[in-house]
Order: sequence, then C-alpha cells, then structure tokens
Amino acid sequence: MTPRRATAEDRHALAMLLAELAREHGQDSDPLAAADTLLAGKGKAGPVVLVAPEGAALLGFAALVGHFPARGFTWGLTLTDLFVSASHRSKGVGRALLRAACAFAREEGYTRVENAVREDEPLPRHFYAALGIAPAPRHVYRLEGALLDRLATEAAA
Amino acid sequence: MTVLAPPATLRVDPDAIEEAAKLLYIRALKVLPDDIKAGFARLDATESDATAKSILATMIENIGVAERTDNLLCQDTGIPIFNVRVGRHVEVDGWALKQAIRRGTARATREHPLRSSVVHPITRVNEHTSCGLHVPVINIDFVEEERVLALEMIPKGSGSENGSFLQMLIPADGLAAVKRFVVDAAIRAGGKVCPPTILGVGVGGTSDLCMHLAKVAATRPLGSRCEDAEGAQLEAELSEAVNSLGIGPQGLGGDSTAFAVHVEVAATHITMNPVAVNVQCHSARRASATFTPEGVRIGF
Repeated sequence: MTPRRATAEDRHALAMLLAELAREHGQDSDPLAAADTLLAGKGKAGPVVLVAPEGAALLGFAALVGHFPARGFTWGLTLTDLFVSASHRSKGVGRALLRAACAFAREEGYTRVENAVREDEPLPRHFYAALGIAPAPRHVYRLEGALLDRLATEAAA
Repeated sequence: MTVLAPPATLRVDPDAIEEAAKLLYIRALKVLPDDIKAGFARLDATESDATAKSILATMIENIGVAERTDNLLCQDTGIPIFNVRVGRHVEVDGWALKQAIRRGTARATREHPLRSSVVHPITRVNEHTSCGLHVPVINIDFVEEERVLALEMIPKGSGSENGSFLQMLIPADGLAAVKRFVVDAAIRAGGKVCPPTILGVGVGGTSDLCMHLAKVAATRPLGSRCEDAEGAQLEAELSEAVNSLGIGPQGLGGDSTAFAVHVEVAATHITMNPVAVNVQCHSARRASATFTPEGVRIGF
C-alpha cells in the first residue's frame, strides 16, 4: 500500500471514509460535500488529501491545508485529519500516511507539518510517541460556537 | 352465421376488495415475502464483516419473532400503497374499488389496531385511520391477462422513503452522471434508510414518472430483472458499485449494503435525462390478493 494524492476518481471511497469518521464523532454531516471540498483544493493553501489505497478501496486518508506564514515566512502544512478505517488500524496505515505527508511537504516546498490532537485521546499521542515525536510546546485556543459569536458581536459593536 | 358469445367477465365485489385491503395491510406488516427472506440468507452467507453479520442475524431473528408471535416486523406502519392490476373482461366499479380500499385500510388500522402513520402535511393532524388526502396511494393499471384483478399492498416506511432523490440531468451529462447520482444517493442515505436496502432507480420519463419508476423498482421482488436490456445492464453495474461502498447493515459497515439495485426505465424527451432514486429498507414488505374466477389467492 503506497499512499498517493487523492483524485476525483476517489470521490465515493473518500466520502465513505468521511462518513465513518463522522459516525465515530457522532456527527450527522454530508460526507459527499466534504469529499468534494477536499478534492477541490487548489494552490498552496489546499486542502490536499493523501489516501492509502488497497485495490479500489481506501484504507485511510490524511487531510492537509497549507498555512502561511510559518517560520521565516514560509509555507507550512496543517494536518487536519489523519484517519484510518476501523478495520485497518494498527497495521501501519497511519504511519504511511504521515510519512507521505512529510514527503509531500518536502516535494512541494512546505517547511513543516503540524497536527493538533486532543489531550483526552491517548491514541494519537501514542502514535506520535511511537515515532519518537514529542508534542510542540503550544496551546491551542479554539473559538467556536457561542464564544465565536460573542467575539464576532463584540467586533461589530 | 356463427354468433360468438361474449367472453365471461370476472365480477369483483367491492366488499371483497375491502376485506382484502384490510387483510393485506395487516399481513404485509407481519410476514416478509419469501424472496426477501432468501435475500437475507444470501447476504448472511456472504457477509465478511463480524459486526454486519451480527446485525443481519438480529434482523433475521426479528423476522422469525414477528411471524411466531403474530407481531409487526417494524413499528412503522408506513404510507399504505395499493397497486391494482385490472385484466381484460373484469367488471368492477372503479370508484367503489377505491372507496373499498380506503375502508379496508381504515378498518385494519382501527380493528387490529395499528399505529396510523398518516397525517395532514400542514396541520400534522392524524385521523388514526392510515388514510388522508390522496392516501392510501392507489395506482391502477390495466393488463392483458384475462379475468384477473390483482391487488398489491405495500406499506412504505418513512425511513427509507426519506431516502428519495431526483435530478433532472441533461443528455450532455450522459449515463456516467446517472450512475454517479445513484451512488451519491446511496452514500447520502447511508444508514438512515435501514440497509440492506433495495435501491430503486428510475431513469427517463418526466419528473413524476421518473420518481414513480424508482418506487416501482424499489418494491419489485428480489430476483426480478428490468425488462429493458439496457436497464438490466445498468442494474448489474449499479448493484456492484453500491455494494462496494461498505455502508453495510444499518450503515455500520460491511458488504451487505443493498440486496439489489433495481432499475426501471421509460422513454424521455430528447433534451432530458432524469434519474430518481427511491429506497426500500430491509423490511421490504408487501402482500397481494389475486381475484380470478376460481377465487381469491393471497400471496406476496
């Protein structure tokens, strides 16, 4: 299994992975619309999707978006989702996708790949620890829902 | 000179229609047709996912429990649909026939009793008769068969009926867009339509005919094929595509997404390329009564 960049031909299989991801997070969302958005990415900002194919099926995907500026006014890549279908976990698919993301970053001129994971989910932390990758000393502040509304309202006031 | 006697006619009494309508509604809600049971057995034999297999086993057990305990297969009594096929030399009062179906449906609901799932679309008032404006849906067709009147009852549940999709494609979109639309619909419906399903696809016609064809396709017995050769080919291709998605029973993953994809086609306009999808859930219920000079035959 060699990860590659997703194409329009992967639309249905990618949507099925997104549906599984949404189901695991208890979300009722439109996986086809999400697949279309991910596959429509252009330019440095993306989004970019790398997939792990096995025959006609996809075992997992990595979704990335470009951010600017990273250190030294360069482009960086944010890994927004690294997902492997439940029946194919613990088989190295996630590692292969992460390595493919790094290779993509080097080839396309991005200087970093970063991924924020939840503190209360041990699996992503174990995943990175097993690869010898320590977390960056950084706090993530998330403004969404009521908080987002409040600050947006304050901006208009 | 030989004078030919007019062919004897089959005279159908509206009271018999009323009784049949009542019986069929109740029977359809309790006893699944043999072709659907065989479909379950086939999926169970080939399913490779353990969770999916366990869900299929629960569904199969549910079918057995419903029959053993004379209970309903599903709490959803659906929208009652009656498909009436009238053969040649049949004498029936059409208006009385429709009224008889309506009375039979209401009596099944009150006398069994059944949950009435039918409400006014704006006031949401439920008359608790499973009847309302234009409901039961009654489709009448005339066929070549001699002296036969067949009544098919389909309680169409809401979960799968909500999985209905129509797109007025144009010829330039081609058959590829038709296929893409059907697979998109299967993904959008996901587990909400209680798979494994029969995915009904209508291709061609006008917008309303196209959706009607999809409903006809969704409620066709398993094992039947589209009579149009091109439609049959499309059925095979779409069945393979939909079952490769991995949606699985109740949308929790597996091979058993659809018992089958059924396609019905109709001629369409030179500038149109309509496609519709209507889903039938795994509780693919139907019952039929066939009136002939020999009597009434109850079946599926």
